[in-house]
Amino acid sequence: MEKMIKLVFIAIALLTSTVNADDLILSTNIKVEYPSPVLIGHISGSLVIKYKDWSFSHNDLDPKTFYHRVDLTGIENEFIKSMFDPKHQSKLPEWITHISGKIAEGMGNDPDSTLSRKLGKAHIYGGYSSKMKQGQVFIIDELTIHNIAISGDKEKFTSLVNNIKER
Amino acid sequence: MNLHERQDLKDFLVSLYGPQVNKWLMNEKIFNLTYELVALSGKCSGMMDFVPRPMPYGVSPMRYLKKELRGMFLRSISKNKDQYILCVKGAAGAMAAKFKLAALGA
Repeated sequence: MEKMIKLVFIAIALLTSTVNADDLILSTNIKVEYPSPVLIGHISGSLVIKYKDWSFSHNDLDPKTFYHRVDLTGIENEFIKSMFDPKHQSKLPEWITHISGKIAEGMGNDPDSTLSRKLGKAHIYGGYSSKMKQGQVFIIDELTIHNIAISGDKEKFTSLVNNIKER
Repeated sequence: MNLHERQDLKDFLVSLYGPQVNKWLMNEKIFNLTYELVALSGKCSGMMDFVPRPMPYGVSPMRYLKKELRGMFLRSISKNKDQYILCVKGAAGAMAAKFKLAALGA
């Protein structure tokens, strides 16, 4: 009987410690697999996922308000690309690339963490700053740009980025 | 924070994160994150005048700063937001999750 009770306790402990992954569907093409959080919040069109020692948020980038007083509508894709890949700067006016360059500089991303890869028809850009312990990802999708902000260790950033997948 | 300080903080954050901030409650956590953002960015001349260094680890800037200095900091970032936004925008993007959780009181 005692052995039986022990086995039940072990089974409960194993079940509760299992990390379950859920899917966050971003579009018909893209999803993010994320471990079960301690809290999910929704505020002003943004989704916030919180864990014990890290968090991330998602929202669609609004080109009208991304950078105050400059409506980036129509050039938002090139603007985001130019923040991570200098060759895209030539496609934009100089004063716009000045802004994108300053924003990129302010991110303080580690040189080895800059991310640029294709995901089906979409393209993922991003980077992580070890100094600030935070990172940011932009997914240029067919119809929108997804903006994911991550606060936490680099390992969490890398794990989340690797879990951005095609559906 | 008094009414003026809350408004100054909101003015600055609306320029940084857009009109969604109008639905955020300006609380101590939001102030502390704004202060942390400025300290992290570390390049904005003028703004940095109000960031005393070193600040004791784990101390809430809201409680640590004298009331007058807090008011001056908030007036300055609100009044000079056009000049300051560019130098904090990069760091602010990745801090969005923290700000939104703070706005939710989480």
